[in-house]
Amino acid sequence: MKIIVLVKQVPNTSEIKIDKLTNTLIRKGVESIINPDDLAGVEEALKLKSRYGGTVTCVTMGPFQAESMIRTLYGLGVDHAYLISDPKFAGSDTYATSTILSSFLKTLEYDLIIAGYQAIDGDTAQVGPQVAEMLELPQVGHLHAICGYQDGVLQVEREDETEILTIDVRLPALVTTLRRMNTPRLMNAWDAFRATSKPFTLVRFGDFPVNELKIGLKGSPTQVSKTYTKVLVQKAPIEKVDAKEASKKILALLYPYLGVK
Amino acid sequence: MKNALLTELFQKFALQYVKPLAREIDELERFPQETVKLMGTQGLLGLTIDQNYGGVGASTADYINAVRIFSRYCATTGVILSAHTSLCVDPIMKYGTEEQKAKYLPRLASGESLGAFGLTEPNAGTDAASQQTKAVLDGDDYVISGSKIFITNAIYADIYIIFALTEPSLGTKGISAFIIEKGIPGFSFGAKEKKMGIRGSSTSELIFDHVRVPKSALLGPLNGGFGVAMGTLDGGRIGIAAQALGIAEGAFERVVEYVKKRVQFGKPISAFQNTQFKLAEMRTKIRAGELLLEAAANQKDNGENYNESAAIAKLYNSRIAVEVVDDAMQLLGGYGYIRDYEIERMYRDAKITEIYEGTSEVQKMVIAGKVLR
Amino acid sequence: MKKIAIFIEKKSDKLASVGLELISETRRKVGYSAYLIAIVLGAQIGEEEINQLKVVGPDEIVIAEHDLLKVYDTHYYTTVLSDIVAKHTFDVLLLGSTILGRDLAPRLSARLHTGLTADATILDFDVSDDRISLLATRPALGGNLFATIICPKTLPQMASIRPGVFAIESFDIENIKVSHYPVTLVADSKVKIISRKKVEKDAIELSSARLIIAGGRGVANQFHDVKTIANLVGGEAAASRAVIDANIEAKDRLVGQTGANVKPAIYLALGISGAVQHVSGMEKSELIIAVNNDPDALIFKVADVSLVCDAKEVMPYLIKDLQALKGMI
Repeated sequence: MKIIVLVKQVPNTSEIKIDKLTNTLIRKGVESIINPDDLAGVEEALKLKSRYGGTVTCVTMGPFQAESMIRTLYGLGVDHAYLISDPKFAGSDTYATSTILSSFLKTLEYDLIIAGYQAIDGDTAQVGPQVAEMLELPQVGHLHAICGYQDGVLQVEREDETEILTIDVRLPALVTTLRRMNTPRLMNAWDAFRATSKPFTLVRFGDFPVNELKIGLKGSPTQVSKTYTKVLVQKAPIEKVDAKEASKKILALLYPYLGVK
Repeated sequence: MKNALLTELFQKFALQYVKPLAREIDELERFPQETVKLMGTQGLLGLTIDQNYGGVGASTADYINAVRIFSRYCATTGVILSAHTSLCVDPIMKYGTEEQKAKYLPRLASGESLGAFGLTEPNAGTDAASQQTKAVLDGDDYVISGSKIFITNAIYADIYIIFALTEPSLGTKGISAFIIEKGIPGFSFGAKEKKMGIRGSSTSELIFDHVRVPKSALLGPLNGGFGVAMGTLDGGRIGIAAQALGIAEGAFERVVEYVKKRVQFGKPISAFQNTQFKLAEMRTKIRAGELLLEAAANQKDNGENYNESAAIAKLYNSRIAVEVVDDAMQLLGGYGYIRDYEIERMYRDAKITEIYEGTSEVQKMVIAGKVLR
Repeated sequence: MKKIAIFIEKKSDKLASVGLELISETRRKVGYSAYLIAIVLGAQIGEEEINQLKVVGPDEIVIAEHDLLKVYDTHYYTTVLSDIVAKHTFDVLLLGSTILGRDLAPRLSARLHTGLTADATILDFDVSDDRISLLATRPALGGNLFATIICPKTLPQMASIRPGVFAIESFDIENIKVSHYPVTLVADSKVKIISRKKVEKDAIELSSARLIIAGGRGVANQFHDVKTIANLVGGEAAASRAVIDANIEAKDRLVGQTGANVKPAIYLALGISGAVQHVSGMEKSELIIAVNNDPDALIFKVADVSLVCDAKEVMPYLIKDLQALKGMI
């Protein structure tokens, strides 16, 4: 099976803190990691490769720094990686990103594309389905498990709020994976040692056909109008109160989360 | 030079698999078979083996980095890896025939077989040359009888490098090395030793009762075993220097964390000069030990003569390990004595590094020998 | 008149509440200044469901019925919805960001070549003479940052919104139009559902809870109140070591070094002393409210709001106040 996994290097958002004095994000010292849902996808791809043979290729779009992620992916046993990186792609929203990715993917051969369900920085879960649409591939997302493959059909389990559905999807197709569906393997020493010098392909604008009007900031249908960090409650001094007053104070703080009008 | 990805692998492996078992295997005196199996599947047992024998083909610097990192969390796991690699893999790579390499190295690389080394006898410790185990030629075989004590990885290892007298009249020059596999008739084990530290490490006597091995089991030249032993121990020294450094680093990390949190007299004890000076001393020792270790490993990787460097690294690192762990325990006070805090295990583990694979006295003999040459 | 379309999801043969929530919030925000269309897909949409929708006051309900729409399929739903969109000029199209919504909305947005904002928590509509602009605000970077997104160049402007963010409210609209959209579909989906099985909701998921009401030694004998409050706020109840060790609650409620590590929006610590091993499991919470009788309790060092009071006395008041707020009493 020729499997492509879409991966993204992201900041470890659980480490990001807000500076309580300035209400700005402290991004310094936050490590970059492989997006967990994507890593689960890589693990599934490697498992499929052990079972059915074939190749696992990773495609990522990002700054040159993403090379460090490619090294780790090679250490896990990924066969080849493409890094799509160009200033012209900067500022892309999910639609533009998906346009770039799908335009590049059209130049590759594949039976299955695996994407992580959601990236922990953007949190949109949009790229997988958008790429599937642009490549006109059937999609099954939010997977609980990949069960097996036979005669051009992949069997998977999709989970939703109340059910697990067993689904057959005809390849080529795109599926999206969840971090909780497996435990990713550690690198092994054989691959890790070779990974440092194993070549990958840097893909620039101009290396593949893509509609220039649909990329980057200008090509993005959505725009950010403003951003703000969550305003943190300044630490209040300790106060002695009676039970009734305490309840009122607590209620006032809970109010925005209660979904009542 | 150290490979950054391998370092990342060692660190992740240590946190995920080595650290969680450290206390248990010490308290239960249990050999961590599951960890060894995982080390095998992740390629950690074949770090120094050439790629064409199924190994990783990494450097000595990388391999001892693994020993060092594991030892920060568990000295037992560190020595299991060190004994396997320095004392079994290394001599086969260095002295083995093509047939022997093809036969044993792939098994050692994949983790199918664990390695061990048997030189020490009841009457031959530092005086290693006073071997009494004999290997008598009988036709095309050697028949080996005798015993070895304090053997690391005993019982769990499959492949043993064993030394025996093939020519008693020649003394030191009559010792030969053999590769012997577990399960061969006549080869059995004595009771497991109850040790002060590295309790998860399997240490037992090896008993050879008329064990018959073919001539092809000879490792290195006939009667050249002493050279094989000394050459092997030179490398083993670097492994133990790494283990000792790891133990010191593990203790240091814990004590730094502790002194920042422990409040006495209204301040964290890290605010007191005594603590700060002690930490500075510990840090200096560890940094010096790190540089000595790297120097020895790099010389070995560059094909230079490293036996003085290795002796210095082991002598120094084992001493500072004992000192750093002692100071760490003192700074932890009463808590340091409580098993939950793990410093006491490191305290018990540290001392052996001044004793095995050549006592500190042996290291001094090597260093003085070079000085006075 | 500007048109706002809302996709009404069906779940387990019922209307999912998120669709109703979206109509209510849109109405609250635009009043009568926009034309709201509820779009429902399914095999059979009954009178009861239509009436449920009428209560929240859309201007029109479009029903698309077909056997192939009985169960959600990306291909069929995307095709029908994009067909409906092609026949109108919707300014805005909203969907619930349920698991279905997050499968459908991006696919649809790509088919329609338009922008989509996912998981919005605040919707604002800027109504002017020539257009309605949607301003959708959403959390990013794991909830550390909020961004307001606009879609100025393409239509429809799409957004998905999480269930439970907005409240359902009835709105009086007279003569709500109900129309049936003629669906033409070919059974050419490459996805086939082989079987399905219901799953029990996961055991308590403290690490993903938005609101945690935690009880310690100070409320151990009244822990049921902690759980009542948790239920009333739609959050999870958690406990400190003391409560677990006394066998009052099971270990899956434990927060701390040997238990769960949590970062909810609000952590309400009731009768918890704040020992290091507990604090290490919750100190990253966005807002920590602590109630403890002892003014020197360590918990006050990490709390953002510190109330010295007997938590056992506070809980009954809080329960009453919450019930009143929710119209239960």
